[in-house]
Amino acid sequence: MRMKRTAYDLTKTAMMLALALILSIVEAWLLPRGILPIPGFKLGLANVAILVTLYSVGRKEALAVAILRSVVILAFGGNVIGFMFSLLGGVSAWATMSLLSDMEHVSIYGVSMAGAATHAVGQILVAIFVTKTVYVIGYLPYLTLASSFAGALIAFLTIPVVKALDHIGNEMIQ
Amino acid sequence: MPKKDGQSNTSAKALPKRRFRFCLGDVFVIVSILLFCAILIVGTWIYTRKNKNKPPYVRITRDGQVLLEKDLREFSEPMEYRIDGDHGHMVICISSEKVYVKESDCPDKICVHQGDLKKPGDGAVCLPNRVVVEIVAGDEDDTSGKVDVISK
Amino acid sequence: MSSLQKTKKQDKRFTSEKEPASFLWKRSRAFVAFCMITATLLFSITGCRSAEKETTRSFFALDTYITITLKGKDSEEAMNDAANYIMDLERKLSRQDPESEISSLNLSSEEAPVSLSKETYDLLSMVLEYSDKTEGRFDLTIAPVMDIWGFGTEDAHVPTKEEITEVLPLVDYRKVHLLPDNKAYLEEGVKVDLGGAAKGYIGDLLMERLDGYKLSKIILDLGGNICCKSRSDELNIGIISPLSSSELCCTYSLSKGQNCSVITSGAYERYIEENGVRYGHIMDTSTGYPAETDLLSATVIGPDGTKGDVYSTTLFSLGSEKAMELSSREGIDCILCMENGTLWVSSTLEGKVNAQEGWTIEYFS
Repeated sequence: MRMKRTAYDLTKTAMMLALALILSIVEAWLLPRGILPIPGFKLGLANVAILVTLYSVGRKEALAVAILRSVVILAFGGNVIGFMFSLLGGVSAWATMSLLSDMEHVSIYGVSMAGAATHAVGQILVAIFVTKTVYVIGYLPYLTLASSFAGALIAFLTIPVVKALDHIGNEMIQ
Repeated sequence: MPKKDGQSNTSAKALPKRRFRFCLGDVFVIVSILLFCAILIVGTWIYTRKNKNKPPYVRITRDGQVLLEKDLREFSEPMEYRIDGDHGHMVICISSEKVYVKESDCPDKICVHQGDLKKPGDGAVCLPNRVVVEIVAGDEDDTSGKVDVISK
Repeated sequence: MSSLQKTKKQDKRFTSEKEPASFLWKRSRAFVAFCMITATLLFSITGCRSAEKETTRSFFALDTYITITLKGKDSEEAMNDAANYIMDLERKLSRQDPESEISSLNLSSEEAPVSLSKETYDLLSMVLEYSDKTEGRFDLTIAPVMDIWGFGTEDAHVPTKEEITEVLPLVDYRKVHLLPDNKAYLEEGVKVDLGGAAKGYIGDLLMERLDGYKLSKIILDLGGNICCKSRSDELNIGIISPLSSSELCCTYSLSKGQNCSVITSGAYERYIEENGVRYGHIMDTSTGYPAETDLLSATVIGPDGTKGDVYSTTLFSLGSEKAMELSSREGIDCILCMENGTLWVSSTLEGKVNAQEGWTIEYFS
């Protein structure tokens, strides 16, 4: 029984990692950089996969998906700076999301929005570190606002995926 | 119902509660995000307003090192400033009215899309090249602004 | 019958549409022509304007940031030439590059002298001459001592006394031997590092080379070593305050048409801090320890960059009293920056140096 459970979780995590990667590519394809008015702003579609993992597998697995996603993108021809961005952003977003998801009265919307906002802050911190100037902090409020809106959208997209995954799981085990 | 058992026995404790409807706590999250942004925006606004009447200077920094810092009014003729960075070259056009990144070999081109920089507080960042181009508020009676080059 | 009607109809439609179209085309042709003429005119105007174009380029070479500003007709072309020339010289003079001429010189011996390019050989002979003139205060064979201190590397540390006494005998410029036909060799264990003069020398060579182009203004900033010349305006050269990297201690105004290099040495940029003591990177060649000096920085102004580079280092390491003595003996224009905020300026520079707030000028001759 226990074995089965672990294998099932592992499968789901792996699926979500694959989903995260696909969504990263889809996003780059849908919204080439530079189209959006705020530099560095992304929808963060890959966050869907991380949220799903958080809600239907567990915290550690969600962290694994967040880290592995960055690593795999780096391995497949990403640059180091991009890696630093997605890693630090991803990990800080995960920390906020796993903390908030534990709190009463906070729904998936709040979790996702707070995660997105933290992601923005993390990104700006890396940018300050990379450029060694504090100038980039001027972007922060706009990036945070836009990211939070995107976060709400991501939460909305996540819900059906979580439900569908449960459904598949039920069928599989029965 | 094996699946129910499985879920409740092993990982139900670790899993967050599935609240898929908007809750009261979310309002708190939104308010704190808005507050955070408002403080930052007001802060930058106060900063730029304070420098409103000061002459604009262009400052180009690479890796935290200032490559160029000069009063925009001194550029009576437009000038092209070229930087050979980690990701190829960047060309920055500087004239007395505006500064913009004309070309960059970096992959995302965020700096080029940033467009014209005119007043203190405007800026363009090229992360791959670790270059920041910004307009800063200069000092009206600062003699160092009239210096062409610095020996160090 | 019906087909005929159809063709007629088509015909009619064709003609009825053709006329306004061709009318439009004629109009637009005139419009296009107008646009093209305007564009060519505009281009030629901007083309004329760009004749006196100012271009700046900055890049990383010689282990530092280099910024070149050129103004004039040939600025683009001259810029490319200058950048390539710097890279070329770096490949010859860098000690870090294992394939450079300096690296091969460091492996040479009496039995196996190496042949050098004219540039490297000239620099070597000039530096040896200066070493002689400064009585070894400036010594290009300081490299072994620099290596054990490790300035600029990750394992920079204060070495033990034994380590220093072991390598100190190797520091002697008389152990560098120049042979005819651009050949040279070093005695066993001796290593040379031209870092103390190379930037000044490269500046000199560049100025010479850029003279062949039609340029009205040349400013070379080789990591803080300035070489400049302007036919059109007076240039203002700031000299950094040794106390703060964002402030100046004084400015020097260079009149039109003069060829000038301004080179500053000080221990404020590169140093090791251990147990609360700062060890600067400019060595006393006789002790193998950082030079003990009452100066914060020394700036040499003059047409010869190599000389400026050598003497700024030497003056700094000598301390104010001996520095003033040497500079008046050798006829060097300099600005010596003291800890108490005094700037000792050669009297020949009177009227050209302006102190910034917090600094006072006193002249010496």
